[in-house]
Amino acid sequence: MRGLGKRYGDVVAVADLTFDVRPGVVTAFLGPNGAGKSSTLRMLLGLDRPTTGTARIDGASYADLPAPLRAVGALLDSSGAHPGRTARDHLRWLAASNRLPRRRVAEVLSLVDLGPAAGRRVGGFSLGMRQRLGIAAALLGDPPVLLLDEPTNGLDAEGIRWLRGSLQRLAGEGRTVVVSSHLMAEVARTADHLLVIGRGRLLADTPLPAFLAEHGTRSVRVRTHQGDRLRGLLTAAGAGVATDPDGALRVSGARAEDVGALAARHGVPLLSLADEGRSLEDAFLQLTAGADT
Amino acid sequence: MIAAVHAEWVKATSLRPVLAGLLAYVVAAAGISIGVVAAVGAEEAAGPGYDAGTIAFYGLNFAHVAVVVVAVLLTAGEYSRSTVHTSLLAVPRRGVLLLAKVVVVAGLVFAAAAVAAVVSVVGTQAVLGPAGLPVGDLTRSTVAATLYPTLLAVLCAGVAMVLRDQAGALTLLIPFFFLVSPLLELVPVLQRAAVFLPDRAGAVAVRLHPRPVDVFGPLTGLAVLALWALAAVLAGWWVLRRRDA
Repeated sequence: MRGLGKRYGDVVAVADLTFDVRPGVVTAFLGPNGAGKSSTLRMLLGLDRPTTGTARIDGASYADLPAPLRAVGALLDSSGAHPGRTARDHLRWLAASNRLPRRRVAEVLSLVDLGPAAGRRVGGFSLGMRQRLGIAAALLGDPPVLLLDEPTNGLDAEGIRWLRGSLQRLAGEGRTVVVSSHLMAEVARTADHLLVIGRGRLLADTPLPAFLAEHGTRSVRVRTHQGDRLRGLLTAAGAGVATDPDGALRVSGARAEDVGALAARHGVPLLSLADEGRSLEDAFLQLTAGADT
Repeated sequence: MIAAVHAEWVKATSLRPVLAGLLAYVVAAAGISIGVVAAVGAEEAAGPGYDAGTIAFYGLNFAHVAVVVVAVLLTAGEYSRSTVHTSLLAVPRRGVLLLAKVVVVAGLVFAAAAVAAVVSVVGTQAVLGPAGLPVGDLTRSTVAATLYPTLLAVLCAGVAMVLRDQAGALTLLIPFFFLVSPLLELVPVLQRAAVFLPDRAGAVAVRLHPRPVDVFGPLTGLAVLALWALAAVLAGWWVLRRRDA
């Protein structure tokens, strides 16, 4: 992406977005609804024309790819299958359009566990089945790049777990995997790299561990009858200590095991002790809320 | 391009409404032609102003509903069911996608129209018995009765790609060809202009004998219709290229 921008009339959907996505890792493309995730993907896929900038895949624009399904597998919530067609026929025409071997149809259908439903019309499918058919279509050309827009939509817990495993396996095979989502928690367990956008602007482009270290500030909450004594010990050990309204101590810059060990060494009885990392969701919300002002 | 046509072919032939529409065309075109000839053919043949071409393909006027529906289903239908994005992901070059659609729509309608035309001409002349013409005398009309629906389908596909809306395309095209265009031809001052409308021009080519208002012959009639179809496809291409999908 180079200076990618898109305006609908006066509404700026995406503004001057520049980033690269690397192969071999799962990249999460994160932002609240309306942040411009889908617009960005649609421009990358040649469906929408950028107002400014360019979006390229291995240096080529999507429309110039000779057999795009072999290069990029995409799942958009708008790229459905005709309800009157069977799952098999949907994949058959896709395979024909890019001269993919017919056997791929059966292969990807069994990969997403739709084998038994192959001859059924898509109109009778559940949301989860449609989503799996969409993922099957994305995998049809065995592409080195996968772009999945909100792939967990409509999937049940089992399906989400299956998808997580598949994405990591696909990235492990050296593919470039991009998954968009508006839920931080959803991608925190799958992604290796984060791209966060809000209001069409890039807010973060960072590996997940770095994001956690930067935004997931830690503190420890500890309760004891000897609050003043523990506070003195912690302060002497170099930790910052604040007192919560209920009398519990909030220790920043320390881990629960450090606080516990310190208390044990000095014979301070503890009533409770817990790590309190600020949740990723909070960090994400704060980051994207900042873009609104 | 061949792959794109193949894909459109699989798409078209895997949808029941499309196949049903083509079958309906053959049944309606041939059935109505033979039925009308069986009912009033003998009287008509004896009367003045009888045109064996018009009456042998009388069913075309009605069967064209099926042509419009099939052409619209395969084009604007993709917008109504949000499958056009899938199509563009598979075939991102928009001109290629449109051309593949036009080729398949034209091919399917041509096949159905050829069957209907041959059945119509053989059936109607057999029903007429001694009043019928040798089938060979109606060769030009039969060819025209195959090309006219084919070009009409291409025209409808182009218009539907401009409108990008299945319901909108059907509500524009069906009343136009079944109400507006035939009525305009009945207005005396407009007759000479109305004959340049796509379906009227196609009908000229089917007729065995020219009428006084037919300002051009059968070949020109098909050419006029083809120009309309070409204009519609170019307009559809322009819209598809320019607009976000």
